[in-house]
Amino acid sequence: MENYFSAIETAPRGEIAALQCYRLIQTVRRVYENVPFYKKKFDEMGLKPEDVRSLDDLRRLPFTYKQDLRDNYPYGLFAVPQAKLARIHASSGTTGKQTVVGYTRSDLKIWGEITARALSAAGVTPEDFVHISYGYGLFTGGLGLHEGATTLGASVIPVSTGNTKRQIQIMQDFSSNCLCCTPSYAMHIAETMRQLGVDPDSLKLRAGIFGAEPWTEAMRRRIEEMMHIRAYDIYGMSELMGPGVAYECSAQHGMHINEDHFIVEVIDPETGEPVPDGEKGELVFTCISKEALPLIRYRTRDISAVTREKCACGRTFLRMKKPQGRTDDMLIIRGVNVFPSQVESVLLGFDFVTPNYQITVSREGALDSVRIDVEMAPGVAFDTVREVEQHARTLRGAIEQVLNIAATVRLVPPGTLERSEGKAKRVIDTRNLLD
Amino acid sequence: MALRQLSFFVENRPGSLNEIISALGALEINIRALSLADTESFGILRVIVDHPEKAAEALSGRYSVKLNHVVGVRMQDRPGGLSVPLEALAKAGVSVEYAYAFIGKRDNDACVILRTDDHEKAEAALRAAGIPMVEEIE
Repeated sequence: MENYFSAIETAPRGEIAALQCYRLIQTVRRVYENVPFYKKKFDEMGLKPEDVRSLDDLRRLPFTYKQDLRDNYPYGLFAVPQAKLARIHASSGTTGKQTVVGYTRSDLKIWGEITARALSAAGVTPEDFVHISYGYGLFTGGLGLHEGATTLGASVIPVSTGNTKRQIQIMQDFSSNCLCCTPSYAMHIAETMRQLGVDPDSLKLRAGIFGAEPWTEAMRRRIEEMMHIRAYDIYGMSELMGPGVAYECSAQHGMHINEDHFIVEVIDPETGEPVPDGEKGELVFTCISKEALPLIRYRTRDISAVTREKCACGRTFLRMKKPQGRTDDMLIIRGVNVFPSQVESVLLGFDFVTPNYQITVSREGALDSVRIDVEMAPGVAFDTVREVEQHARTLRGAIEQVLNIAATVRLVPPGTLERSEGKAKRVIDTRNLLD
Repeated sequence: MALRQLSFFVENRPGSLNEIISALGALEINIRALSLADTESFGILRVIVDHPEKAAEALSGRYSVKLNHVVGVRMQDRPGGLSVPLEALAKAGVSVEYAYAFIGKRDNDACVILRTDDHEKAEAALRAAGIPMVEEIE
């Protein structure tokens, strides 16, 4: 039986569209009146708020880019006075200045509701213990799921990240039913459980909600097999709200977008023109219920596709595929397009490594040089240099087949690759520094 | 009991070797012999210690460590001393993958740790040739 949290999740499409249209019109008026950045943009385009009367008019609105948030750092795009703000979060800012986002009390309530939908769709009920191993703090992962579990009425275990053995101990002792963290951390917990000889069936864990970084179907299967749970994806980003913009249901076949709060478009990132349903493009979201930071046509740089086909779960919200990668994650190495997630899919085929990797691209003379560091699986050890090199060569061969580029592969001990807030840092590109 | 050795995978960064060495020290484990193989991107530290099993158990959660069999040969500390056991191994068709030596506590006594492709065959050949071996002392 499906657990719906809100009636709107299964509402007729017409009803959803009408709500979106109403909220879009309100939002456009509000940003024009309260955010000088948008007023200036609209004025320059000769666009008046009252020109937006239907959902089709969305396309007339300007895009908002991550750079706009940076240019208006920290609070320049906020649409409410400070007295109405209830919370500040910020992105980790690994690529440039961090982006700062704000929430009113109403925004936090909506955030709680949409993440409660995600938990509910994963089968979590008020009877459950929700174990949150996302980082708590400026990062939206921890407090976002915390808000959702609280709204749902479940019992929150706010563990935050780190100390994997303690995480497992808490799961055992506190009867955690649902684990929330990044997929790479879930994988690490699963590996550590195996290494410690913890039988997954001795835990009360049934479900996991894993997001904040792209992951593959193969990784889902691996986590599900190792932990004996069902692993659900959740999508979001701090600029839009945090986790909960879209969520997976029992069908585990795409993520339902919370369309009562966000309007999605899929565009060709080069031309900005929409692409047909089912075709890949960049996801663009418009926040239509947020008070503090209502971004218009925000360019996520995430590459995905949406479908309006009916979902087996009964929800009518349209679904997005797992993002394949970000437009800015895509590397062009010696003229070849490379998505870091391709490396992950290769690594999942080998037992002696974990899917934790780091790609370093540098330029030696005129040539791009690629090194891929891969963490060995816990418990794997070698006695001779030859064995290590044989294993690295095997990986290199498999990676080259998939990526079509030559790379140096280096094995590193488990847990040694850099992580920020539990999120694995996948790519280090030093080429620009040398240009 | 045959001799066992611990092999640690060591990262190529300052301090990584000392982390392992001090972890052994903190466990009150004494190192009897040591060798470090280095490559461009990693190293392999091999040690003979007084309590190999205890060390492997305590450190396997933190480090990539392997416990495996090696052969310890006792010989005379004089020119040509190492030829005697190597000849016995060659005759038995055992190949040596790597070796490291240390001088014993007694005068005129030296030890060589040999990693071979077949440690049981190696031990049998050495025993047959009457060459003394280092036993594991727990």
